[in-house]
Amino acid sequence: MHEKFYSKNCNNCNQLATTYIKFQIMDQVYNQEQALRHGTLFPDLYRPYDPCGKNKEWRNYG
Amino acid sequence: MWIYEKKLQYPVRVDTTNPTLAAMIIEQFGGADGELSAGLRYLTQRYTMPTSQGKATLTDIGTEELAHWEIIGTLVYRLVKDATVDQIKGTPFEAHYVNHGKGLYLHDAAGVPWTATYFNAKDDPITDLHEDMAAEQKARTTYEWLINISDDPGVTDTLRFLRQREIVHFQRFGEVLQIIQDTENCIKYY
Amino acid sequence: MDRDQMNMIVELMEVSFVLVETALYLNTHPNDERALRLHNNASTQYVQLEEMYQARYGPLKNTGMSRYPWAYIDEPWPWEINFNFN
Repeated sequence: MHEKFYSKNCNNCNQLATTYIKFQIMDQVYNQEQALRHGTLFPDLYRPYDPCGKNKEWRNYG
Repeated sequence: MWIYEKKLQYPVRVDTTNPTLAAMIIEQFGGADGELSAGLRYLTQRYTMPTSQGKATLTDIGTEELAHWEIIGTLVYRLVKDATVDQIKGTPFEAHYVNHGKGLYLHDAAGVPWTATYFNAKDDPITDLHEDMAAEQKARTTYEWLINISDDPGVTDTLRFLRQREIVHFQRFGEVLQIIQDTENCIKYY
Repeated sequence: MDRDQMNMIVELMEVSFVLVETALYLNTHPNDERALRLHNNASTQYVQLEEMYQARYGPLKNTGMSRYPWAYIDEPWPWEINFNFN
């Protein structure tokens, strides 16, 4: 019943004026010590802040 | 209902006494894009959020934000607890001190007191979730500016943790939005 | 606060944090079996760790059991602890 929520053939990604966020599918996980230190259990969601500009967050979000 | 667990979510370390930094960190305590605003926003919106996934997500992220509000309060408390009056005089914290001493209070870095107008609940899940996603981005950006000005390594470490949480929350709200938009495409519930 | 107690608290924080992450993930992915297994294992681990901590240092919640006198109120409270050993 929930399969369609994970489907890559999303229902609305061709719609105008609609936000689309990709669903995470759990892949790798950190161990418990690494998870707390990184601020997330999932390496896929880890996005460290680099104030020197090379990894400027807004570039990744653009 | 809420249960309090007598431990912080993160092992907070404060290395210095720094009233100026405390006056900036308090932005995330009582400011527009701070942790209390976030927590109360989600916990208020959850009553009219459709889908069980939506209700659970707003409840749990709202609760986590209150735990973050506790961490911010801890940072401010520890940054000033050993400060002498001379260390406070001439810093932005002095204005806070004359009203509140070294106590915590709900205002932002500029001294503006907290207000419920910092968030809304519109009884429209698409609207509410977009506000939630925007709130997470605003919090993330605020943490980045705070990381830029922090010269206490322990505080910076905690700020990085809190910033990373905003990114995860953004993803979860996005997923709830997807679920609701997909559900809408099948069933009109209003 | 001594090192041993601090270390136990940090381990509680670590497992507790894994549970926050698995719970948030499961809230939008209720059918992910692997995530559910990870969550349930961490949950069991947390209950055991909590029991061990509470037996030595008193309850973490005011619903927990306590020696005499009531240990829940004991200092330090969370905002009074400096984790400066990392």
